Amino acid sequence: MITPPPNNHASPPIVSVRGLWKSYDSGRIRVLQGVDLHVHAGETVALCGASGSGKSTLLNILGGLDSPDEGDVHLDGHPIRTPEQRTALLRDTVGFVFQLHNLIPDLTLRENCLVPALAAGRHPREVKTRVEELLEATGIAHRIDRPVQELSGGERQRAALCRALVNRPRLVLADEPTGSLDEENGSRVFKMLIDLVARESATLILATHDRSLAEACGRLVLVRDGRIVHDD
Amino acid sequence: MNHLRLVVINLRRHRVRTAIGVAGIALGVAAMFSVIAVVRGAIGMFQGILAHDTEMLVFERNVSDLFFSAVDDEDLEKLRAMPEVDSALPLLFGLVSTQGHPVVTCFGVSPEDPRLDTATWLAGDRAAFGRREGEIVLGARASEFLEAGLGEKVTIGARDYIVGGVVQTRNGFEDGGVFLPLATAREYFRREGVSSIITIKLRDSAQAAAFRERVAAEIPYLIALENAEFNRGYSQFKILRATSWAVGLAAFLLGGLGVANTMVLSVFVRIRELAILKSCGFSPRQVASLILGESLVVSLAGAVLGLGLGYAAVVIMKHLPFLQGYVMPQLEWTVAAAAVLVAGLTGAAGAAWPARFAMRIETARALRYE
Repeated sequence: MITPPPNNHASPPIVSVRGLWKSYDSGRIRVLQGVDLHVHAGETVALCGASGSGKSTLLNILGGLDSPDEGDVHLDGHPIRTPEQRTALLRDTVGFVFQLHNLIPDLTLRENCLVPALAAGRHPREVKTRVEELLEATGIAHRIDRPVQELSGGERQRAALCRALVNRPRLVLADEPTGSLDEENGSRVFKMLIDLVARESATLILATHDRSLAEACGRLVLVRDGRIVHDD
Repeated sequence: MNHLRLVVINLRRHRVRTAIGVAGIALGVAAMFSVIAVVRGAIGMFQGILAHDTEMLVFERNVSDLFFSAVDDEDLEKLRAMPEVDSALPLLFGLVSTQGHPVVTCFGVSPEDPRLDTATWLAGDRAAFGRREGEIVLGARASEFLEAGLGEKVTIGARDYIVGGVVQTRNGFEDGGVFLPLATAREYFRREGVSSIITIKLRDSAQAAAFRERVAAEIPYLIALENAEFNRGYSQFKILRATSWAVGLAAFLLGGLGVANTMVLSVFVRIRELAILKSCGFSPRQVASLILGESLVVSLAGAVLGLGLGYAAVVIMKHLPFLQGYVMPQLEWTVAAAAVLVAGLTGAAGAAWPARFAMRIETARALRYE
C-alpha cells in the first residue's frame, strides 16, 4: 500500500495557473479552456482524465515545456512568461518524468543522469554522490556505467526518475510515468516515485488516466475537455 | 561528462556523415594550402631571379609583364652613370619551346652577372661564359630534361647550341632554365640593344628614393622600384595571389556546404533528443553550442587532415619530373594558420542555420515525435 504524504494547503502555492487557454492547429483544437489550478508545496496531485483531455498539455505548461495562448503561470508567486524564465524553471525547479523514458541513447546511465547537472553548469564531481544515491535507491546502481540501450524498460524508467531528481527539484512533473510499463514494473516505479518525492520533500504533479494511481495521490484533479471538472 | 562528450557522442553515432564533413573541409584546406604554397613559391622564385644581390629594379613603365619590358642600352649607360648606382646589370627574359617541353625560360645575362658566381657549377668553366660563340649554360634540371651535358649539342627553340656548363641554383626557375650570353639572347629573340630589366645595386640603400626620383626625371619612360615595392605592386604577382586565394576559398565554400549539410542532418535526425536536453534545462544557447561544437570539431579535424594532405601534395608536386622543378612551394605557418582559421569560420557558418533551428525547437511538440 502506497501512503501519500499529507497535503498541506496552509503553505503558499508553489505553482499556480489562472485562466489558462491553449489551442493547436490555428485554434481549431482547443486543448485547455480557462484552467485555474493552485498546487502547494509538498502536495502530491494527480491530474486524471482520458487521453486528449488536456492533462499532458497542462503539465507541459506548468513545467515550462510549452507556453499558454492565454493565462498566467506563477512559480512561488512570480510570473513565468519568457522563454528564459521557462528555461530557468526547467533547470532549477522542475524535474520531468515522461511516459517514454526519453533517455539519450549511447550515453551511459550515469551520463544520462548528469545531463540536468550539465544544463545547470554543475561539475559532474559535485553530483557524483547524488547520482549514485539515487541509482542505489532505485536499485539500478549496478548498471551505472552501462549504455542505456542495455537496460530493460523498467530500469530505463527508473533511470528517468533518477535524472529528474538529480538537481533536487522542488516540483516533480510526471506524465503517465508508468504508461509504457507492465503492471508489476509500473507499480514498482510508481512506488519509487512517490517515495523519492516524499524523501526529497518535493511536490508531485502526476498526469495519469489510471484511476488507481490517481487515488494513491493526496489530491485528485479531474480534467475533461480542457477544463478542471473536479478538484479534491 | 561535459559538453564535449555530448558533441563527440553524436559525431561517433554517424561516422560516415562525420567523415564526409571532415573530408569536405580537409579537401578545402588541402587545396588552399597547396595552391597558395605553390603560387607563393613561384612568386618567391621569380623574385629571387629579379633581386639577386641588388636593391632595385628598373624596367619600362606601365608594362603588365616584365617579359615585354624593353630598356635601351643607351639608358643602361645613363643608369650606370647616376651617382647613386654602384652597379647596373641587364637581364633579358625569353621563353622558347623545345620538343616535349612547351616552356623553357631563357635568361640573357652579362658575363659579370653575380648569379653565375653564386651558382654551383656542376660542369664547365665559369670564366668561359660568353667567351665562346654558340655556347650556353643549362640549369641542372634543364640539363636533365633536355638530356644534354657539357660539350653536347642542345636544341633551344629553333637553334642548336653547345652546352658550355651546367649550374645548380637554389631557384627552381633558374634551375629549369637556360642562361645565354646577353648578345646571344638578344639575337635569338630579336631584341637588339635592349634588356627586359636592369637590376641595380646602390652605393647606399638609403639613396633609393633619390635614385627613383632621378630615374623619373631623366628617363621618364622607365620606372625604378625597390624590390619590396615591386613585389607588392607587380600585377602578375597580384593576379597569381588573388587566383590562389580564390581557388582556395572556392574549395572552402564547397567544404562549408558539406559541413552545413552534415549539421542540418545532425539536427533533423535528433530533434527529439535536442528537445530532451531542453526538457532537462538546457537553454537554447547551450543547445546551439552543441551544434556549433560539432561543426567546429568536424572543421578542425578536417583542417588538421587537410594540412597533412596539402603538405603531402606539395612534396609530391615538388618531385614530379614533368613539373621540371618549377614547383618550389613555400610552406608558411601563416598560411597554415589562415587555413585553420578559415576552416573554423567555415564550420561556424555552416552550422549557423542548423544551430538557429535547434534553438527554436518547440520542446513539447518535439517530444511527441517518435
